[in-house]
Amino acid sequence: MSTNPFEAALGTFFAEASDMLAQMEHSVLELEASPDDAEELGALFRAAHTIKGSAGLFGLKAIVGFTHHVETVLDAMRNEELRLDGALSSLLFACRDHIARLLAVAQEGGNTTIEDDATEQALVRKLQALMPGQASAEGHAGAHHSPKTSSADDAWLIQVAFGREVFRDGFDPLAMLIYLSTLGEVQQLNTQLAQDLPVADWDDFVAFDPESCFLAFDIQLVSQADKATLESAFQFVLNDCQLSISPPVNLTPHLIDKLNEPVAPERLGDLLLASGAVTPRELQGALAVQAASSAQGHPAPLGEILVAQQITTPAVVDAALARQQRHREPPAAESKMVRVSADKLDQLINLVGELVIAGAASSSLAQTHRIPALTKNCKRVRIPVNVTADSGHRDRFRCCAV
Amino acid sequence: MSDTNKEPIDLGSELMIYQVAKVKAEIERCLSTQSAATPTLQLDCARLSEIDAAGLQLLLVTAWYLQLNRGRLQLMRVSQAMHMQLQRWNALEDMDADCVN
Repeated sequence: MSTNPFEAALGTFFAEASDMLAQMEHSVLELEASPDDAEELGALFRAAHTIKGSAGLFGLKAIVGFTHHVETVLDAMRNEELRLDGALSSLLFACRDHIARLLAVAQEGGNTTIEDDATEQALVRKLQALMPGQASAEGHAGAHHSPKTSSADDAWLIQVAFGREVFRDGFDPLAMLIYLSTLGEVQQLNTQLAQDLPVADWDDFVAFDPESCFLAFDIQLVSQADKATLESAFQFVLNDCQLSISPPVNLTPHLIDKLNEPVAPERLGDLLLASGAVTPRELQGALAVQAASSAQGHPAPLGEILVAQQITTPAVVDAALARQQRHREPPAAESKMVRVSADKLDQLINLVGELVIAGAASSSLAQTHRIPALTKNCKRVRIPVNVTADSGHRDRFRCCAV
Repeated sequence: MSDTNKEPIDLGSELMIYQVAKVKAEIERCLSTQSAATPTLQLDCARLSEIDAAGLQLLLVTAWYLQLNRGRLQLMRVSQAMHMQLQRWNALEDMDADCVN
């Protein structure tokens, strides 16, 4: 097994891509039988999307470029703009085979490009012909893209400082940022050097090792993707980078809404995790900080740690704490009360009265005709009906007293 | 008084992790022979078509070193595609790029 992190990750990618190809084949076969199966359409799209996204992380441009065309058509199918027929089914199988070929070439260390491949050009032409008004793949608004009219309040702030070994481990941070840009619209990108890299003096410049990574980036990205998806762009270097993903200001009400949903876990970290405000990695990191502070005798609240690390905002933590509080407290007495108009209560009592009379008549008939099973059932019905009638009368009296 | 290298350093077709050590050594050699207090360094990008993060980092570190020493990094004969890439990474604020069509 390879000890090089890049090669190990690349091996995982090829294995995963092989599974995704099998999924594509399976989904197309299933869709031939039921072309409107939304679940299968989703699975087919996700398989192509995963191949494209992961290939982008490894800089496999040929695979990204071709799969993008396939993904565009699958997206149209998912949005009911296209429907699978015999011709499209054959085309998708041919595309699947071509992706397999591109993967095999990449695995052998090559990188087939569209210019030198007539098969690919023919497939792309057929795919593009299915998409009227979409002549170029460039500028295509993918599943996660957002309208151009977005403001700074819509943008995620992603700050990443890569570790020294990232280049030597075989990773290219630019490939990760290119993948990230496919998840939305980059509004602003600042490239920086690590603060501990002095470059003012000649000696410093000579000492600078160009094969060590000192790069850091601040990115403002408008994206509909969730935090976990954005974090996945850096999945192979998470242990060798400092990553902070702050949600857009405009996402805060949405996160608070999620926190107010009726079914929610009780612990603060779980609440934030379930709402998408934090990722498992961020929560784990914050809990480690909390554990360290506890060990020093000054336990820090988890919410404060998450805010201090700019992982989430005070408003979101407050909403989570409020949700947690509501979950712990027994419901207030007044929340059990429902106002009902006296007319409706009268109507209910009348109906229950009808039920009592009808029940008594049924019971009488059962006894007259000596049907033991019916007599027994009538008794079973009479008890709850009488209880309801008594209770209803009490409520009506209470209502009249008020 | 400023001093510019007479022959721009040819960056070749790729500036990636595999080339950065060699290119940096050339840059060092070139800068060490310059006498002026305000050095200007010219890099010939005519053939440059591929750059990765390590290559970008080398350009930025060189540009910032020169800026802090009142000098300037000049990229000569940059292709449109490479110009767009450098712009995408917000690198052109710190260096001059002479673009060719």
